[in-house]
This record gives sequence, structure tokens and C-alpha cells, in this order.
Amino acid sequence: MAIDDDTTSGGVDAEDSTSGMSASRLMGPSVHAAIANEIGMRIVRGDYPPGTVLPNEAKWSETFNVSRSAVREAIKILMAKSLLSSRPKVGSRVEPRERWNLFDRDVLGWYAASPNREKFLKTVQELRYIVEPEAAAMAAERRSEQQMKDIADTCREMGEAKALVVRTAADTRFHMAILRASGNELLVPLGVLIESALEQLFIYVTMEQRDLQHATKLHQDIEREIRLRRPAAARQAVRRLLKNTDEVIAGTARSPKPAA
Amino acid sequence: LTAALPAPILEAWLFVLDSGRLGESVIMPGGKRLFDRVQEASRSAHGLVTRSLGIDIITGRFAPGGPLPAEDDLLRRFGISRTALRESLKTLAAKGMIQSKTRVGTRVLPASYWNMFDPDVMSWRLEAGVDASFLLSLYEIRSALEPAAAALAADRRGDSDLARLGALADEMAAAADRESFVVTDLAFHKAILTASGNPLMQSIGSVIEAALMAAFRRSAPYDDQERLARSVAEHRAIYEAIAAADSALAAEAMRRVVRQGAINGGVITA
Repeated sequence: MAIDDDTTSGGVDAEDSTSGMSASRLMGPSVHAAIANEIGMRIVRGDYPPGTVLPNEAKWSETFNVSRSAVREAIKILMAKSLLSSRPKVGSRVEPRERWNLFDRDVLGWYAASPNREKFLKTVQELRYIVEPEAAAMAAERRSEQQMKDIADTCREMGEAKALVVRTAADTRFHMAILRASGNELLVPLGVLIESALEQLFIYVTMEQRDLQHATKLHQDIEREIRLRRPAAARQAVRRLLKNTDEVIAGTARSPKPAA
Repeated sequence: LTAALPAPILEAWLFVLDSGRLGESVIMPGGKRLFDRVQEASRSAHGLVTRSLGIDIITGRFAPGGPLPAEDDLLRRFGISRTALRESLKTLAAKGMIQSKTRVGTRVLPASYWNMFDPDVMSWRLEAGVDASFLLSLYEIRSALEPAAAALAADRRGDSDLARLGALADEMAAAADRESFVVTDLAFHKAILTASGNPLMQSIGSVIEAALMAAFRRSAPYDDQERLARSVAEHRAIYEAIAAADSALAAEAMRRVVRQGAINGGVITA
């Protein structure tokens, strides 16, 4: 049924001739994204170590029961994220780990989903300790009135949130607002790390009411020091918050909540 | 003739003429081999168009919040297929630079949405021109990251990390010309991020690599024998502190190097 051209197609843009021909197949514009997601996750978790050649298009197309053009699109996405490189006559090869861009939202998501979540969180925390106190100190020196308002608003929303999901969203926006107020364009992209860490914590942590109140207070301290333009104190306030997060992570490691 | 050549190829050849070297081993800004770069560039029309549009957006030729020219206008300008153009627009959307909405059309997103930690966006940003504020941002992030990475490396370095750092320190001392000094310098700093044992550090290194290269080109003390000797000695001091597993000393030595680089590059004053 499918016009399965062999591997000598040589990169000619073939129109998608197979999708939609079989009702049992995955269809729609997001199929290739779903396939990229699946293959990407397998690469990052180590099923195909760097240097190995990935199974060919035909094989994936069979595995997932999707068109070869969907697989081709997915491979292109993974190449754009530097997880794969394509070698003529060889196929797609997994790139060395140091070339992976872990600041790509998807790649970071796959990395976070890998089996050892505590290790992931510790790796992220290590970097947060290095970057976030400095960002807060810069924000204390440079923030505009509008940026201060964003920081204050998100901090208040966090404290007022009734549901944990709303609180986590406000929490993420709070940290993003500080990165933006730092006035350093290279710090903003690090926000994706914080977002991912908070998501992971959200999935696995149920915090007691008094823990939540304590965490809110730690955020309010940061907000206050930035408002009062006290860089050194802002730096310290962020370190206290991160230390608290360390304790939360250590707590979940001791008594893991079963994944839903 | 030059007008007929795709820009990356032209740029690659200008680089060769400029550096007076030729061959597969020539390393382009961004750390790619010239050979790969030319291959890549000639492979994809959509790559050229993506880059061209990306730079137009970064330089403000297409203003943030404003519309992107109509598809037909872009087709006329680039002379590529509609499929290739759409591919380019998809790529730019994935990098947070534009957004397409049905009936509204394609708009340029504000700079805060651009994924600066995408290697392409970073290299376009650099091609569009490096201003003082960018160099200051780079200096600030290096000041935070690199001393911390050196300290972690002193705690965790494996034998192969150490051997590599030692070899690079030797290579810096023996560099035959300015360009190989810059390339080795970059490799040394990246090796420390790797030796930190934190994969996120390593990733930051890959992302800001092109920016570091641009900064190192400005600040390399190659023409001044005295400053060159001092730079070589300061880098060796980092290596030795890491070898001695002295994290505080490693961080301090790195802080000195980063600061001196910023002074040499005119980013901060002594």
C-alpha cells in the first residue's frame, strides 16, 4: 500500500503519501512531535548510547505504526536539538552527550523524566545555587518599577493560591520575573531549568500547610530585599530558599510518594 | 561572483583567506570544522533562509510585534520552494522568534521570547553584532559560572579530565599564532565546565561557545608578550589548583582569568 521508497531517496522532499491511508495509524500534524518525543526520551535515557546508529526509518515506522515521513520529520526535530546527526549511507547517529542542548525545553523534559529524578533535581539545584543568588542581586540593583511590580504580584499570587498547581505556576513566574529583572539577557534562558525543577517537585511533593507557609515567607524575603535594593541580602535570601528546597528534595528521597 | 555565493559559504571562505589556512582541520567560529560548515551550508536552502530571516529579526529589520512579510514576498526574495520556506518558518517558530496564527498571519515575537540558548539564535545574535551590553552579560554569567565550575572540577575531576586540562595548558603556552591560542583557550574553558561533572554546565558551555569565541578574539593578549605570558601562567594556575584538588584556589584562579579577560576586552576597567 505505502510507496515505501528505499533509503536511496537522497533527501528529496517527498510529500507525505502514506499518512491517512490507514485508519489504525496515528494521524494529524502532531504525530511527528509525538514520535520525536518518544525517540528523544529513549535516547536521553540511554537506550541508544552516544555514537550508536539509530534504527532506520522503516524500523521506527513499523514500531510506532506511523508513516515514514512522520518518522523523517521526527528525526529532523531531534537533529535540530543536536541529539542526532545524519551521516550519508550510515543513518542517524547519536551525538556525544556534550552536544545535547539541555536548555531546550523538550530535551530538558526528557532528561528530567529519566529514571533517577533525585539526581536530576540535585544537578539542577547545583546550578541554581550558582546562578540564582547572583540574578537576585542584579535584580536588586537594576529592576525597573514595572519589573518590581511583576515580582511583587507573582509573590502575592503564590501566597494566595488555593491549589498547588496554581501555586507552582505563580512560583515559576516569580523566579522568571527575577531573571528578567536582572537585566542580563543570558540569564533569562536559564528560567527553563527552574520551571522544570518546580514541575518535578510539584509532581512528587505533597507539602504540609506549615511547610507551604514557610516557603511563602522565604519568597517574600527575596521580594522584600529586591524591593529595598539590597543586593547582598537578596543573595542570602535566595540561598535560604534553595536550602529549603534541598531539604524538601531530601525528604522526598526518604519517603517517595508513589507515582500516580 | 560573491553575490552569487550563499552567505555561509562566502563567510567560510573569507575566514580561510583571513586566517591563511586551509583544510579539513580549520575550525570556524562556533567550533565547527570548516569542512562541516560548508557541507552543511550547501546542503540546505532552508538553512540559509532561516539564518537570513533570523538575522533580519535580531537586527530589527522586521520589528518585534510586527508582521513578517507575506509568504509570496519571501518566496520572491529567496527564490526557494514553498515547502522549504515553510520549513524555515517552522524552525524560527520553534526557536521562539515568530508565531503563526490562522487568519492573523505570522508575527515577530518580542526578544524576551527568543530562545537565546539555542546555538543558532546565539550565533545569529553574534553575527548581527556584539554590543557592550551583551559583553557585560557574558562577563557576568562567566563570573558566576566559571569559578564555581572550577571549584567543582577540583572536587570531582577524573584522570582523563586532568590529562586533558594539562595538555591544553601546555598547548596554550606553545600556540603558534593568535587563532590557535584563542581556540585552545576556548577548549580549556569548556574542558573545565565538563570536568565540573554537572551536565548542565557542559550544555551551557556548548551554547555560549560561539559567544566565548567572539569574546576571546577581542581579549586575546597574543600581540603583547608580557600579557600573553601572564595569561598562560594564570591558566596553568587553574589547572594546578584543580590537580591539587584545592577548590577554593581553583575558583580564585578562575575568577582572576575571567576578570582579566573582561579588562583586556574593554568590558570593565581595571
